[in-house]
Amino acid sequence: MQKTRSFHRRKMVVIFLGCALLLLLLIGRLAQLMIADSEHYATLAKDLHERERSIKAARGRILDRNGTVLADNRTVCTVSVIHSQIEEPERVITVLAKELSLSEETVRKRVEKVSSIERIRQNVDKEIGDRIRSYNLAGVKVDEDYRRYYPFGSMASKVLGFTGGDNQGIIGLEVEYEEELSGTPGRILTLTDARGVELPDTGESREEPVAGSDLVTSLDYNIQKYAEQAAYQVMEQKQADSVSILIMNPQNGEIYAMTNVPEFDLNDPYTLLPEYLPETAEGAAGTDGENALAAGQVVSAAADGQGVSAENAGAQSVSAAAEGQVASAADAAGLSGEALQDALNRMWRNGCINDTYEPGSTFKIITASAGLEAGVVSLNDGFSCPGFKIVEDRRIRCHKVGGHGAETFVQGIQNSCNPVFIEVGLRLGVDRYFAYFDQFGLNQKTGIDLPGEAATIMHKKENVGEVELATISFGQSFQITPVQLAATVSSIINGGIRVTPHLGVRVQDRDGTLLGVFQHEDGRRILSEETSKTMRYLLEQVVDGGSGKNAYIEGYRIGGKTATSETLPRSANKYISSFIGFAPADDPQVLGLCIINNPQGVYYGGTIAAPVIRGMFENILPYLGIERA
Amino acid sequence: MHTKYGKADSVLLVIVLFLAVFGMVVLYSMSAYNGRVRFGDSAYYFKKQLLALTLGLAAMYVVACMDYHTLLRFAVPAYLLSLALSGAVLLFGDTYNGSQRWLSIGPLSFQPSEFAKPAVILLLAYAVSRMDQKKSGRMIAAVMLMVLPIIGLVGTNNLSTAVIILGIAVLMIFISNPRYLPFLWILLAGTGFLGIFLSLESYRLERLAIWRNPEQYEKGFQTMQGLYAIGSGGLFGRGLGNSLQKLGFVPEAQNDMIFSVICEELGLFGAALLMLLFLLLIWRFMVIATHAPDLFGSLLVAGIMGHIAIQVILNIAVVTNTIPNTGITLPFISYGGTSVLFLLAEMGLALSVSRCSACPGRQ
Repeated sequence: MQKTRSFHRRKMVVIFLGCALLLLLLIGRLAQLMIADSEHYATLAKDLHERERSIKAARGRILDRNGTVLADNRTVCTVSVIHSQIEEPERVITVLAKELSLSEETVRKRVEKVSSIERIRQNVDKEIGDRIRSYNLAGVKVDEDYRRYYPFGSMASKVLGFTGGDNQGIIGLEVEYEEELSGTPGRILTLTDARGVELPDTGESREEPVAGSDLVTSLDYNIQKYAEQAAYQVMEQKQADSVSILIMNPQNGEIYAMTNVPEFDLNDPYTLLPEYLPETAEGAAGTDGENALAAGQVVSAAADGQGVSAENAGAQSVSAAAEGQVASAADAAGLSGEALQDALNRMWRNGCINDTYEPGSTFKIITASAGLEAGVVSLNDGFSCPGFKIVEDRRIRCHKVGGHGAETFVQGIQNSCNPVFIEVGLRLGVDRYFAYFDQFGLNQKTGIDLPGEAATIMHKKENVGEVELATISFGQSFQITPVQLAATVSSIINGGIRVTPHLGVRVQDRDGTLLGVFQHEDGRRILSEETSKTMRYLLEQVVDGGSGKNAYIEGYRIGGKTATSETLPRSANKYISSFIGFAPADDPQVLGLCIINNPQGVYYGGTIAAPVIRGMFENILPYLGIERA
Repeated sequence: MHTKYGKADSVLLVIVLFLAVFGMVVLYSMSAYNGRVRFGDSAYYFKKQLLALTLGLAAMYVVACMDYHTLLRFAVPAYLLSLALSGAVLLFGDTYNGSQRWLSIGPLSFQPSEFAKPAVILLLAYAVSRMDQKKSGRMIAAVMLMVLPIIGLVGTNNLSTAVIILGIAVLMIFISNPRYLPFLWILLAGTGFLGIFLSLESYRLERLAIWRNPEQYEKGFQTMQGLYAIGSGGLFGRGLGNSLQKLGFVPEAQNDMIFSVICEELGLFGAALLMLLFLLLIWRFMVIATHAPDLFGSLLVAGIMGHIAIQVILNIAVVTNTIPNTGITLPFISYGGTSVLFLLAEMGLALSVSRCSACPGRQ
């Protein structure tokens, strides 16, 4: 047997040292991984181990000015499956397909998808959720959350708006105040093993959801309800296409009621109302029926796009709408998906702010204010109306073919006499007229707190000659939104301070604790107090003895102005009748605008729109505590 | 044989016993989840390992008590037996996890490749100690020729173990030869061979690519899971039993990747201590080997040292993604009955040699 020699020993030491070196290097490598890269890998590992389930935050409610709940939440369930925990996939598929009324195929696809958690259906009624829970199916989770619920169905549908599948606002106030209403979703974090099974002893970290704030609006349930009743009534009587009524406070811009009937059911917003089924498209443009024949040429020129700044035609496309819902509803209505989406968008439109129209004679208020403010006309100035006025080479007719004869400015406005206002407009001239147009805020949007406000469509100044100026003076050949007209007239009669029409007043928590007040006041002076006072007087004369006499109420001082516009194309003989009124005439507390689209039979604003506002005021004024004199 | 025997190396014994107990505790912690999920018994792996450990401790005691020279006459038969068993496993072996590596004898299953390691150590110690030390070139060739059959047999279905056996053989030849330069050539040749070997098949190159960027490959899953575990450990770990990665994330946490979960539970501190413990073990082997009364004893312990060192270093290098992934277990810690049985028997052998090194040698 050989002895161990010294070189043997040396080599063993070499090997040991080699091993020691390698092990130390590996300890170094380990230190690098566990200290330097520790955070990186630990974060990745944490993502792997934690399963996050979000807890929906209760969406804030929408209240009217008196605390009546207009938009509320209802408990519904979300049904999801955890793939790794399913024990009887076939039974799960059968039960879920049956209870949720889904096709087996759809359910199967989701059940068999290898994912940590797969949502099968949201917004399931609580009863169905409870029933699914009672099957005790492994791997099926029923989480409760909230769904938007509108207690009054279709009330103020186009103002309030509705929410989508994730409770996000889709149109209206729901979208505008999304941030305030939505709250912050909470999270449940649970540790799981590789199969996705939650670990029993590790506990779960839970971040509670923060409920959204309640939005208090300036809407008044009673006024809104009455406005809708009145609108539906006149729509039916006159077999009109649609009727819009807007009631606001001219002093601060608060909107009490805003309706565009037919309203749709907020709890079922994807069902198309028959009124909105597509038919031959027609322009929403209108012209003053009292002057229909006279202005035809001019208006069509503007509508062709000459000199019209169509910065925003008021289109508010609601593509955010859940497409799946549209698709399924499309089948029901027998429309293509696109056609249905268009029809739905039309149904959801808030005509008061999303659409523009030719205001017609109501716009004479603006011309009168500008003329009085500039001093180019005074109340007793004499005018003469032969039934037309020649402007350049054009003969622009008055609605009264025989003419009004000699009249003062007061009588001119009582008669809504076109030649009088053409004369005032021409006295002002293009530059001054446009300066007042701008000063009154008509070139800007009103800034109302609703999405999709349409901008004014106005001639470019350099393209305006005397003929165009003449038509603008009585409210033709350009378009504004109803809310713009209401806000501007409010500002003219409230003492001359521009108001911002608005609905959002304040946010508060569920207990009513005030969280914040919205600032909407514009506060800019657009007209002298003196002229404002004169305007109140003039408009009261219109109701007391002029074209607006159908708005008169015994014991109240009412001011107002009528309009009848013919829509484009003129050949269709379709009209828009409107009336804007306010009370009390000496200290306006409420302003109302009623617009009737395409009434059948008698279509004069003074005949059919003024009584609607009178009816509104008869009820609102006592309700608002304004006593008869 | 008149060797006077002294006391066995108590430091080695303590380290081995500590590793054995520590290994069982860690194994229970690592395997409880898999045992519960697959067999409905948290202690499933633990019980099987405990049986092997008991047998192994008995074997260690028996081997430690006997004169290691007794083994001289078993060297060749043991090697032939290992060849036979390794051949048999190719024909009759059971397949677990896609590898045909086990022979069943009644209720017990047995992994012949684990037996091949001590058999090779024994054969080489026997052969080298009898060779003419002056004809070094021929000796290298002869030794390589001797171990090639077993490397070939084992390598057909267990490449990692074949590499370990080759490594052990190279280390033992290295010790038995006074020169250094030829081994440098062997090292270079080996590296070149490895390069060619890897580039021959694209899947081997893929393994290299996975090693470089484990995050980008699906097959880098195991590696990434190991790194997640190591990274989550930090300085002091989550505490024994608190690993999350062992809950199915690190596949087969009780096997090759067990060190990563040790890192997660015991932190850098615990993992480094374990590595130093292995270094201490290797150091004791070196001490025993250099003090052995004869070359046979020296080479036996040197072979055992090589075996342990190669497995520990390669395993940790794989787990830390320092080298590409290959299946090598961590001695005493990873699950595997045959492995722990023969490891403990090898420890008995080293103890036996240590008893002799304390006394004057004999010729």
